[in-house]
Amino acid sequence: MEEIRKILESMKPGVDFSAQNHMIDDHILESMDVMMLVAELNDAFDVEITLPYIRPENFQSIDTIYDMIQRIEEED
Amino acid sequence: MQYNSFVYLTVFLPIVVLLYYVIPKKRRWIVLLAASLGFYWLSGGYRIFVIMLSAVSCYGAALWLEKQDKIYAEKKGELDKAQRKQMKAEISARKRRILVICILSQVLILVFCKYLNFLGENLNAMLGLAGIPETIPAFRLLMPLGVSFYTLSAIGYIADVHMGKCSAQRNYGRLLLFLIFFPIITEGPICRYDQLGKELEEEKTFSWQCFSSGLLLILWGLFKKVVLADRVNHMVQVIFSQYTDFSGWAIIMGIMLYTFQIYMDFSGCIDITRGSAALFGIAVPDNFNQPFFSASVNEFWRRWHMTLGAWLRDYIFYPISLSKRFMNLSRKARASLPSYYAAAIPSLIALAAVWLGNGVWHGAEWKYIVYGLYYYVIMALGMLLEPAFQKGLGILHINRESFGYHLFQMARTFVLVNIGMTIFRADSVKEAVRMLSFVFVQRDQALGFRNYVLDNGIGKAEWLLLLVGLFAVFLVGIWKEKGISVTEKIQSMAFPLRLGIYIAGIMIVVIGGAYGAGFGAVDFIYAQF
Repeated sequence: MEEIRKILESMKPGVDFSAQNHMIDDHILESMDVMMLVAELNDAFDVEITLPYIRPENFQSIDTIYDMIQRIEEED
Repeated sequence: MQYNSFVYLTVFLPIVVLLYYVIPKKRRWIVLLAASLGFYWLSGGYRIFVIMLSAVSCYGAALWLEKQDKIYAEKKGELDKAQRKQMKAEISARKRRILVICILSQVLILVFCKYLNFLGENLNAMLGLAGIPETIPAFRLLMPLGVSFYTLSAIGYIADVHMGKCSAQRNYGRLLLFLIFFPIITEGPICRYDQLGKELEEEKTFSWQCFSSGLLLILWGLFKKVVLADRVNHMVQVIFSQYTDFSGWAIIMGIMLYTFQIYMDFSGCIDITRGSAALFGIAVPDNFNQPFFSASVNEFWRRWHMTLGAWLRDYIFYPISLSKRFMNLSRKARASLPSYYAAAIPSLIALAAVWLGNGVWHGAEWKYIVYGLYYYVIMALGMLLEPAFQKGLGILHINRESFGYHLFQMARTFVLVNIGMTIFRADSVKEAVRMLSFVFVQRDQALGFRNYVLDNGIGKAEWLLLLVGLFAVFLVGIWKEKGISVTEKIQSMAFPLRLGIYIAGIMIVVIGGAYGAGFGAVDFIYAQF
């Protein structure tokens, strides 16, 4: 979770991501940010986040991103 | 049959509503399917077979895709990890092939119905440059009603089944209903199967709250369409066909009137669409969210024709951005560029496809392609120059969060959108550029602003009606921004007051609508796409 927070903060400095639960609904993350975030997460966690995972509910908070990565790792 | 026609509002819709609630819940979807087929047949005749063919292709492909997942699920327990991986890769490749074939078949139907002559004309022009005489004849194409809208819904459905976002529909009739559902077939919105498909599957019971909100939405949509949008139609036609006769201020007014017209026309149609669906207890997504409160062009497209923007994002931007080749490019960009540009530059490449798609989708003319690329250039410049803007605002001590700066941003967006609308409405890009240049050219013989406003069929009383209408739309927009629902407010009022509002609404539409001498019936603008 710490690593996810660091990635998010490096992308958008000044945002307190640990307090966010609706990052997509509140437009904190736009589609371009999601794309960048996916690239960073793929490298950091050695996973492949594919299209079926690109759903708003997977990117609303650090927790949901973490859950998504866990699911991908389990599937692999 | 138009949604604002007498036949639709007083015969077709009431009969379908009555039949829908008379029939047992389990069979109600059949009423909607029969009504939708009837609506399509009355509006588009034999072209109904084109949409039925599209539905057949989606239906078969979706079942086949799901079968592959089932095969994998059944066998994976018997395999070790390496075998599982191999089988998964084989099935993925097979699924991708069927997905591509199905999408191509949908796109080919669309190209054949909508773009064939455009391609032929351009090919002839290219051959002409090489000295070869015109070889490709023009065909008399009859575009099926709503082909641009339902094709995107169909592609979205098959892509979602491929990704496992929704299950394949086993009943052909139900899938056809999702594509042909009569309130959405003319102008959208572009719906997703996991939303509208589910809504159409649910067995709805009558809810007075839902029904009355539907009636209010229809009235509000009619008000926007026949009282406001249609009223300025003649003035818009005059300025776009005779702009050389008018002064700069008159041209500016005419362009703004077109922006006003297209917003009232399209959002009005969507309100009637959503209201009609609500009469059956079915929720259809909204397509507009106060677009003229946007602080940037980017935000404008999140609030204007939202379902098209979301479709382009989910089925063009993300698939390109997440492809292996693109991920490698993104990795290289992150290794060699400053972090801001490392994020911006790959996005810009994917966005080029999105905006080209947006332009092409709107029509088979170069002006629409330029229209899409116009927004792309604005967004690209905005993204690339963002660090410089930030620096500049810092030096000038301008607070980006201040109300004044926000107003400036809204005004800037409004101007850019109006330039876009000029490209959209003019006969060609050349005409749009010429029209915009005439704004700045001083001409002694030109008719002034006053001549344009008062001598083109709209009297002072009608201007007052337009201004009051615009203010009402603005007020409702402000309330919506604040999370206040006007519909809920009206529904919570005492019955006599509520009844009064309904009657007043009907009277305004009937008396205040742009009918009679000087006004002809105006087709919904987006129905042509």
